[in-house]
Amino acid sequence: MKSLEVKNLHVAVKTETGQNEILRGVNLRINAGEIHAVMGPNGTGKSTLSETIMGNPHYLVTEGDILIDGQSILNQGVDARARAGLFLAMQYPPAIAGITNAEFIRAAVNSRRAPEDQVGVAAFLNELDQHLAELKMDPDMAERYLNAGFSGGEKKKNEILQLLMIKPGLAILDEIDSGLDIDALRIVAGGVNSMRGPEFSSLIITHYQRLLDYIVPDVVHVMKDGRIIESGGPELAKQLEHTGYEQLED
Amino acid sequence: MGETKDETQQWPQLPKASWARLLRPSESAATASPHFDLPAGVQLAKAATLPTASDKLDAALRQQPTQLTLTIPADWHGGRPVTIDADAQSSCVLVINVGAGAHVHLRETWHGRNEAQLHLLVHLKIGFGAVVRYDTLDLLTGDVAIYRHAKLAEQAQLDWHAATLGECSGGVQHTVDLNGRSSRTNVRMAALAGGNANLYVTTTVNNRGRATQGLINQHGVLTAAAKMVLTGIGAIMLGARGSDAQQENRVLMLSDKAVGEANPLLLIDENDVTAGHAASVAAVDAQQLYYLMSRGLERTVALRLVVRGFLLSLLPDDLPAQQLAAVQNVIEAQLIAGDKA
Repeated sequence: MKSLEVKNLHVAVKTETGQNEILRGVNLRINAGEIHAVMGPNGTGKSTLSETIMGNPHYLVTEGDILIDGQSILNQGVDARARAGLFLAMQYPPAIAGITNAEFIRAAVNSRRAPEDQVGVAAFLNELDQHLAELKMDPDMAERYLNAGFSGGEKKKNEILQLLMIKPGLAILDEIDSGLDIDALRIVAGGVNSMRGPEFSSLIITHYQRLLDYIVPDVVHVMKDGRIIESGGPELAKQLEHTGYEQLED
Repeated sequence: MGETKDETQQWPQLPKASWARLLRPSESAATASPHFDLPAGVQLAKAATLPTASDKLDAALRQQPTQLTLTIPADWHGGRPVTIDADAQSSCVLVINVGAGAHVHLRETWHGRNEAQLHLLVHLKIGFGAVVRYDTLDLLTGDVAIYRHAKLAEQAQLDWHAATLGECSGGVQHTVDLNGRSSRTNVRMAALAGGNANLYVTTTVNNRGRATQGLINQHGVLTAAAKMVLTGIGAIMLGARGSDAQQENRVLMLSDKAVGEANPLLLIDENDVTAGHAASVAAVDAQQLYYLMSRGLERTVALRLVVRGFLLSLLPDDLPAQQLAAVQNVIEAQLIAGDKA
């Protein structure tokens, strides 16, 4: 993947009385190799932006476009977008009993490989064990049911484990830092940093500057009321830590 | 609920149908026998006498030439499970006596197809303080009348994982009588009905003794043009003070042509008890499906995983690989056939 572009994106969700517009014209371009962070107060549409890029059918695009390498992906389903290189580390990943973590991740890895090029069990488990160790996850996590009975921190690490195994072109990390203690945050950030390179880009959604001490972004955007109101370098995040979001005007 | 009625003259309760109508003749003589793999100390013999029939279904299903008794002696602690493996031609009556204080893991698997109706009656008697794990897998096609009935003495425990999976019609009745004080059970049922199946699955727990605890958790899946009525009955009898009856019944419909029903029944004849139930008939969990698809899995693959997970979550997590594969194959076959239907 060379680029992800978001152009004048307007997004609404259905409510009982009609539609509620959440995004009101977001513009963003992420090139291969770049890490972008989106910050902003609660309820400004950061998660809506992540979910809409991924293709969550709950969100309706009312205007604008999302493009990968210049091609619109709006008419592609979530699975096709994933196979095109997108990945979303979710804020609240659901638990699914009856499917082991390893089996699921292997199916995900193989879903983007040709039938004659499927990854074998031994090679897969080898790599999985290695990443489990890097993330300081219990080796048993591979054979446990997907997110079932996982603590908040384990779920977040498990999202990063999937990221490391799937190796997407662009990873959206939706509040991957929430609920993590400082040690877990360092480990998770280390996992993301290990992916950095010319083939990998990321969109990091966070409330707090703290995460950006560990994953240093190339570009920081500030979102308010469904728009990006300011963009800058990593120093913008530090400045926000002192001034807060209130001062920023549309 | 009928403390005053003579239960031996009743059929087990079955909403929207009757056992009298579901029963059909079995083969005149079973052409096969169950195969047993028994750890040392466990004895198998022809049943000399059967326990008194507890109801009319019990009486009807005991008309079998093959009648066997399995005895697990008091205080027996075997490392290895007691394994019972049978095909659909092995209609029989099986009496399992677990002695006081014994700890045993019973694994019972049924597979194959029968032209007539498979008749299976299991009496599981669990003695004082005994602890039983009971895994029953019915991977059957065709017509069945299955009645498994457990009776627990004081402080006995029964941990039961049951699955009935395939294109199977007729009835499956699982009953647990918590007779002894402080006895308790957790009964799960994973049921999958595919093709033209027409299946009645009922799990009943009767809290008869004081301070007994009965949990029922059932998951049903319907594909193609299958019909299934999944019923959970938690009955707290007069005198069972301090008892608890909880149940959950969930049915997933994967086809517009399938007809499924989840019936939770709580029958409470005593005060000073706790009871609760939940039931739902629904389509697949959209959030789970979205999550799997967001990792690149195609919808059909993701759907199969969600459904398989829904059923497997109620099966033991230490199934032998061969049995797990058999279970997964049956589920996969019904889901694929359902997609084509």
